[in-house]
Amino acid sequence: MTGPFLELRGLTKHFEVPRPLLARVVSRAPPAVVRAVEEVSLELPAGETLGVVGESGCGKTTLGRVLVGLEVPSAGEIRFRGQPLQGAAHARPRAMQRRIQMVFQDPYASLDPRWRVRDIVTEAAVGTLSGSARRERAAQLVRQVGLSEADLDKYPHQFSGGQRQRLAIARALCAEPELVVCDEPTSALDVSVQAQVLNLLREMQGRLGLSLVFISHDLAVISHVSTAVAVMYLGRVVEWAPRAVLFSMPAHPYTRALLETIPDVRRPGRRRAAIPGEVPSALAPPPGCAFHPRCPLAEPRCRVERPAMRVTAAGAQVACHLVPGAPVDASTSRTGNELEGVATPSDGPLAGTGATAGQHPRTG
Amino acid sequence: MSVALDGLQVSLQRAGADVPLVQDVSFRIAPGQVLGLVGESGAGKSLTAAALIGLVSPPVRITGGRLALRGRAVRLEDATEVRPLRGKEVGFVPQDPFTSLDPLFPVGDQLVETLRAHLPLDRAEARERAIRLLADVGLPSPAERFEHYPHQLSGGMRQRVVIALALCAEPPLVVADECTTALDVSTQAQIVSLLARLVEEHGVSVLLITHDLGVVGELATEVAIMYAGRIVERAPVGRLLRTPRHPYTRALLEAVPRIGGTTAGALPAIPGSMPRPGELPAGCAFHPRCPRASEHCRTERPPLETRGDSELACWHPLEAGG
Repeated sequence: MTGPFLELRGLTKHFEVPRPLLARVVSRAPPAVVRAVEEVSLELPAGETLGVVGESGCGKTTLGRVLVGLEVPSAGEIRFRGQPLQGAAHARPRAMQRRIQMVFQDPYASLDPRWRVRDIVTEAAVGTLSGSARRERAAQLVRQVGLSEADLDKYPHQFSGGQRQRLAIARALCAEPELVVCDEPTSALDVSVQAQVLNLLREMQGRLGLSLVFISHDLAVISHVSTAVAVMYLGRVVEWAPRAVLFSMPAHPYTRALLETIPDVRRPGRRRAAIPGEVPSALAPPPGCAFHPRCPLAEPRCRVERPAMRVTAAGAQVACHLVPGAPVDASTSRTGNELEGVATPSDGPLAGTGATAGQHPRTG
Repeated sequence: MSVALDGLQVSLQRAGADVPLVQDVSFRIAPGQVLGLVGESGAGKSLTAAALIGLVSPPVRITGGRLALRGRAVRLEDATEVRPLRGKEVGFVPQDPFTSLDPLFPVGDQLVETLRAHLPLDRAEARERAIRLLADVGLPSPAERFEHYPHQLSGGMRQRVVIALALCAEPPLVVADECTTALDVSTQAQIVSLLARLVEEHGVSVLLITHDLGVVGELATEVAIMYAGRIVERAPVGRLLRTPRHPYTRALLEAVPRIGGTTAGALPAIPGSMPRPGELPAGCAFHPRCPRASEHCRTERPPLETRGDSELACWHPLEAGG
């Protein structure tokens, strides 16, 4: 294997939004551009979990969709086990498609209501397994996620939200993937069921040696599942750090503000500090640092100059003018853009997390 | 004057049989106080809200319950008595600010319409009052926002408008059903502090329905935990969150992931799921999932007993302080 397990370099996804007909014809206005994901450079070692956290519209879901090939990146590169992944999922080699799977947010929308469980969970095996082998695989998959063989002939509507999410996980596991992208997999679930699904994901990760990209708006969930965390704001990663570093020494003002806004069940009566204002539109992100209109520490240069990613002493990568750090090594960058530099694995944010597959409970 | 709900019963009529959905829910909320009603999907908390604003429709039916406010009691099973209360006596803040405003009218017009439906105001007075209300809920440049359509406002601003609508007739009771759930954490914190300020200023009683124990910890003065259609524990917020006495309350609190918690261990999940209505087990409804369940719990349902300033329905409660 050459290079890290998963590597993103300057990954960018823009969407064009057509203007109204009149504006197009009369003023020849070019289409507006939503900069959903801008120059995201991240790495994920095998067997670990990269948490991606941010508010609505920060680009975290688009990032996940680009990873699995549901969207084609506008620029930048994805390398999986050293090999470049290009284009949409169907354009990728079939063997490669199978290795990256996804679990979606809404288990009520992601399962076809007219399919039986056994067909849903083994869809990825169509054409590769015979009928009886498929049936056997389906039984094995549902047992693995804590359901019973009696459920194989049922339809999705016969299951609760938590059970449906188990089915979605079983479906993702059918192709024996190495990387599973989970997009808010527990946001639609109650807390007690959320705990069951998070435990199941952890168990599967330990048993099958999966690597996960876990996308969520919930910092507490992210802190529970991740080995490293990337915080996104308006399409960009503003901080990327090992879990322990991010939660004990958050460096970016946005990360610190986000952590302040989390209600704490253990401290009733505490009023959290709200971040003033709202996330600006991705159609017209502010110049300079995108967070400057809401940042309590903003200086004049934050309004004009976009901060470059820098490596802090604690081993985090932070894009903020006010956080001291060394520039990210730009020698590997292909375009010469400072933001696209990638830290070397030895001193990058993932060094020192100490997280190994051995930490995961092995039940199998 | 306190708002009191007494003995609410809601059931589903199915094939000639009554399936109970909400059973014997009672509470009292003093002015300026917030009661957090907490439970998982299917516990009956949103139905309780629907009953209070007269939005229960067949085949679901209210079979009992009395709401006392402003010194008079209303029979909730009689829709003709309940409907006139909505807006005027009972304000409602729904979960989804995207669907609760009419997309075809400017938000100002919607406020004016609501104000004039409840208060004897002419157009100009209502307009002036509406702009004041919009300023009161923290909308920047309210006179300008008055002309805006809902789609021109962000989710947080829409939720502010909806809160203004709920408060415009100065009702003694406001029912907020998962009113922060659809918002981002940063916006959520803003709305929570807005609600806290309004409760204090207007002295309203608030029934805050949510599954989010964090929001309850910030806003509520008292918490009631619902499970399978019944209140199983009620206590002042600090006591309930620090030393829960019902095993379900404790399990619910422990299942919430926490920052600074360890990643090494599994989360303490509650096994199984809540029983469906009509499939309630005998005895205590929580017994199949309860680690403390005994034979007694399987056969006899524990009554909701008042102990000091709290209520509890459990045969084997956790020690206070343990």
